[in-house]
Amino acid sequence: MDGLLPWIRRSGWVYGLVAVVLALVAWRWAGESGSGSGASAATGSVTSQARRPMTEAAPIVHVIGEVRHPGVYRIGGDARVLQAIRLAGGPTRKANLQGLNMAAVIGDGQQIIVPPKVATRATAAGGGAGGNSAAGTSGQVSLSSATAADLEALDGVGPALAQRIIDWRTAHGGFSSVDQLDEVSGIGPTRLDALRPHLTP
Amino acid sequence: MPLGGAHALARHVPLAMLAALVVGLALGPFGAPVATAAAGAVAMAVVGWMLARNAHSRAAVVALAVACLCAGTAWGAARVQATEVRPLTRWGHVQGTVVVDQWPSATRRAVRAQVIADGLWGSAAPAAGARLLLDLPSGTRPPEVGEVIQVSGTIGPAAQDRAPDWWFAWLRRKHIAARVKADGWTPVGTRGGAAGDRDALRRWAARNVAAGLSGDIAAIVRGMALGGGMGMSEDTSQRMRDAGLWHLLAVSGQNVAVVGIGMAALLGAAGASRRSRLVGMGLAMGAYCLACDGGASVARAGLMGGLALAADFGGAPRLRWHALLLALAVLLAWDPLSIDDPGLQLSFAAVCGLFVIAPPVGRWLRGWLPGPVADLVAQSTGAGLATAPVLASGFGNLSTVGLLANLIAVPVAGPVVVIALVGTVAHALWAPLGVLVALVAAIGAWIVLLVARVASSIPGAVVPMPAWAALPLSLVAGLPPTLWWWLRRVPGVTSPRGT
Repeated sequence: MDGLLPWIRRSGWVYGLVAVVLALVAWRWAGESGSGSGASAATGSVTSQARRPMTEAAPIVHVIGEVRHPGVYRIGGDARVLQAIRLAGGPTRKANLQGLNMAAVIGDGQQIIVPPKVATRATAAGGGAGGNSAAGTSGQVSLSSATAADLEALDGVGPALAQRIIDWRTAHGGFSSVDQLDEVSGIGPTRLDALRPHLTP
Repeated sequence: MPLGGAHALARHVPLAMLAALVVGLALGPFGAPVATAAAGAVAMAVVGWMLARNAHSRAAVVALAVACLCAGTAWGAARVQATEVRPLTRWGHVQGTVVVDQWPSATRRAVRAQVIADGLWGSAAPAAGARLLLDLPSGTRPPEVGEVIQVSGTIGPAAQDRAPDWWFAWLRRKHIAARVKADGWTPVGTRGGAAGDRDALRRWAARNVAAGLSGDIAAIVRGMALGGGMGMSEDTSQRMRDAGLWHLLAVSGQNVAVVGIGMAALLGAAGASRRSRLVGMGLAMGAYCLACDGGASVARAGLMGGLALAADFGGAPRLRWHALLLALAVLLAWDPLSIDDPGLQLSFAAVCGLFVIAPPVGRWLRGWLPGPVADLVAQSTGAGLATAPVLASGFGNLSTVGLLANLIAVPVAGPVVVIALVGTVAHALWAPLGVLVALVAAIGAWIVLLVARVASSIPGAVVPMPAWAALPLSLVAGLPPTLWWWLRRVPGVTSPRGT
């Protein structure tokens, strides 16, 4: 018998037990997060959406505003804004549906705000379908569908720059945000700020 | 092996177990399979138990160490899986409320804050709880920590593809999912609950610690007392780094000890019992750590201080290496990604340097220098040598004037910390007294600032270092303890002055 044996018998089991408990908790924890129910609050929807395809679990949406039965609803995978509004009892008479993209796909945890008709343009633009759609306010040029001529009509945009914008759109599959114009050669922060009020994605 | 040697070995076995656990936790973020590591841990624990039953003690110890390593790996990997954030990759518009989680920093380009999404909505809006960077225009009044603010702006990736690797690593470590650019903010309220109480403590401490001071002097006083470089100009920040004095702005064990000793003295004067004093010290140290900037350094110092107090409370001996490794294990168990944090690496490297390098250097220097001066030089040398490899690999440069600058600044820094903390309490009792005490602390801060400016202006103050230089620098750092060990073991050989 050597000097280590007394230590093993006195304290060694503690370390073994700690190792086993840690391992089992980690195992269970990883299993839970792998199945999609263990996402921590800190990860947010960005993480949970990235880890869990929408088809794995039915998304939950919060429909508020001018609908008959505002509330939180579980909805089928790949559902659209239209279905969410129907689940909430449909729009009220006061609802302004022009600012909503009814075809937009819904993500888990999304809030859909149906604005009233009396809402200002800014409110409708911000609140539409949880922001899934641009408001499409009049006078604005849509980056996703504008022609070179449409773009050239904007102050500070010439034929070359308009073409570069269209080239960028073709290469990247479209614009999801006006801010992406920053990545087009020849458009700096100043010009982007000047153009922003006249553009929608 | 003689029985005494075996007993000595047995004393080191718990350290080996802790070290194995720490190594395992550090391996967790590298994508280890959780199930395999967990199964390995359980299997090796069973093997260790069987070996111990059959009196194969050494093999049992090895099996237990491997079990700890595997368990640490499983835990680390599972924790990373559960907490890691997938960054946002698209752009959109958001508006709503966020909670300011850390003190914002102001640069020439922007006011930047780490925030937590509270109630954001809009395209690509993250759910409540997601951590974000908030960029506000330069010149905007920064919000205070714990404030709930309303913002409206664009949200997008926090890093572009062309961003440097260290920026991606920082975002991953901080669990930041996206960046919000807003034109301004509107106060809505403050965070509630326990986190809100901590926010209130942080705001109180930050307001009182440098009352009546402004600019870089206020930032240095605040940083030395509470940690961090909040409010410091970019130029001064760079000069502090170049002069090797930035560590003075990290909360160290000295700060925590000052708070604990101060409370013990107060309670002792009031006639409190030993146990009451220990409890009071623990509460004061805990409150102080919560009021600080929350970096790795203060977490380490707080954990080690707490373990030392627990040992005192239970009548057990203080085992500094155990405390250091246990603190590291706790920090890594909470956030395994922090192994990549230069702040954590520097903090632990500095303590290792104080434990291993400073004592032999100090003994050697005492032959030439007065005791306090020798100790000061030894501590600066120990911490400097131990952190040099981390600086080379993490930051790509090394301060050549650090030792000299520290010799002047460190003796000043200790009193500044004490005076600033006294001033914090004094300001709460009677504001003019707090301002007066803070002015005294400002004298020390001014000296530190002067040293930083002079030292960083010396040609060659900072030498660029390739990452591979960490290896030879590690060997250099290991030289003093190795030499000392060799001098003690070789018969007839002593140190130059026979010490």
